[in-house]
Amino acid sequence: MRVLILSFALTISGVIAPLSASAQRARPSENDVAEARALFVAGQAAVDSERWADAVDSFQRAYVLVHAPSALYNVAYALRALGRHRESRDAFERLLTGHENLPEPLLTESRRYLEEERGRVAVLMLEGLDPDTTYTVRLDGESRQDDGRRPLLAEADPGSHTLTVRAPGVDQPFVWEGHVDEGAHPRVAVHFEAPLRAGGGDEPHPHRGGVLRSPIFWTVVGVLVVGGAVTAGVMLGGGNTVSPQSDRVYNL
Amino acid sequence: MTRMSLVLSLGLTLLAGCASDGVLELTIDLPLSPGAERVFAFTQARDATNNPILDEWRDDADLDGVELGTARTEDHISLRSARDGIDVHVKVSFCSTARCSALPDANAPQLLYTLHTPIYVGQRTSYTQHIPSAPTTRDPTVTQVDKCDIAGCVGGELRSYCRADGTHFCE
Repeated sequence: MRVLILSFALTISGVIAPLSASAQRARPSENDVAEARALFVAGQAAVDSERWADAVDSFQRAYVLVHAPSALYNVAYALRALGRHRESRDAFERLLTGHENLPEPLLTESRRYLEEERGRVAVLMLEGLDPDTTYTVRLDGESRQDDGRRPLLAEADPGSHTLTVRAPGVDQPFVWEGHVDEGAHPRVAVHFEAPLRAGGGDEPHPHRGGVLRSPIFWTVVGVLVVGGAVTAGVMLGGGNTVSPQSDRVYNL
Repeated sequence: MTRMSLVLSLGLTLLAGCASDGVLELTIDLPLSPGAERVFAFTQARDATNNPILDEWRDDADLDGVELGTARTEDHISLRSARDGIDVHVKVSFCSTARCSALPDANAPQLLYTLHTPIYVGQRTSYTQHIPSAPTTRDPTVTQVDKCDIAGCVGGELRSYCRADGTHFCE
């Protein structure tokens, strides 16, 4: 496939494929074409030495200048080589929907790669989220919109990822770290350890002169709380607040 | 601090004082049976301070081993302690009987682990030890399990359960 990518690179001087109606734009200037040609050569060199990130950069800049479909194809192809399948899929989709009369074999190859890339994108399925709450979701530091769908879907490239979900009024975020395989749809059960902050974290201010200022009231409350604590401790089995989940127990 | 906070703190302090146990939920992810003969994974756990790992441990309180099968199985064991900060020694022996009591089991293949600070009083922690295949020999090498690999006191699945300063989230 390197032959194909290079052959398209070499077509830049003669081919500026027509854009779809929605993507029509002014014909590039002589200078733009010359610069794009130089970027193609640089991208080709990057591909030759498998510097795919550099190739993406060169081909993207060339595409911005001349809007040649071959440039976008090369961008998508290089992204695919980098394992950035979401972006590669999006680039192939943009190529197929944004350009008319794509020449062969570019058209066939693009369709084939698009299907392939669609299948490689993994989707994290975030379960346990309240449908009436809007969460702040970040995957590898990148913000993901909570569109209200449940389970909430977060696309990811194959590999290791860190997911952070924050709920309004909850101090501690939910954090998930894990590896996802190509095309996998792992379920992630989101749960929050910390309770909701009452009233945004501010302590309540009792009204002046109310029962809350009465020493008798606080004495009664104190006796009840302490008595309740002791009773709870006794009821929890000699003071154990954590009980084994398994019936196979070693006492150390 | 308000009076309410003081009263609640007193109550919680009393409760915390009663919370005398911590539990580690230990899962041993066991391999397939290596052959036609019956093999049991016999797991023992002891406080590391008083039980050198290379010593022979015999105790009626030991739990029966789990028989290996044609699919991977898991042995779920709860380790309970009233002491914070202890290290725990774990042995998994692969024997012909559930309690490793047959004569040939004296030198049964064995895997050894030291779990560092896996239990925190008042907290539930968890750890899963994967055993990809049944060993064929008794290896004296002791696998060290760092406290940062012990899950607990934070939501989600993390690569490390320690803060940036090296303290565990349960500390």
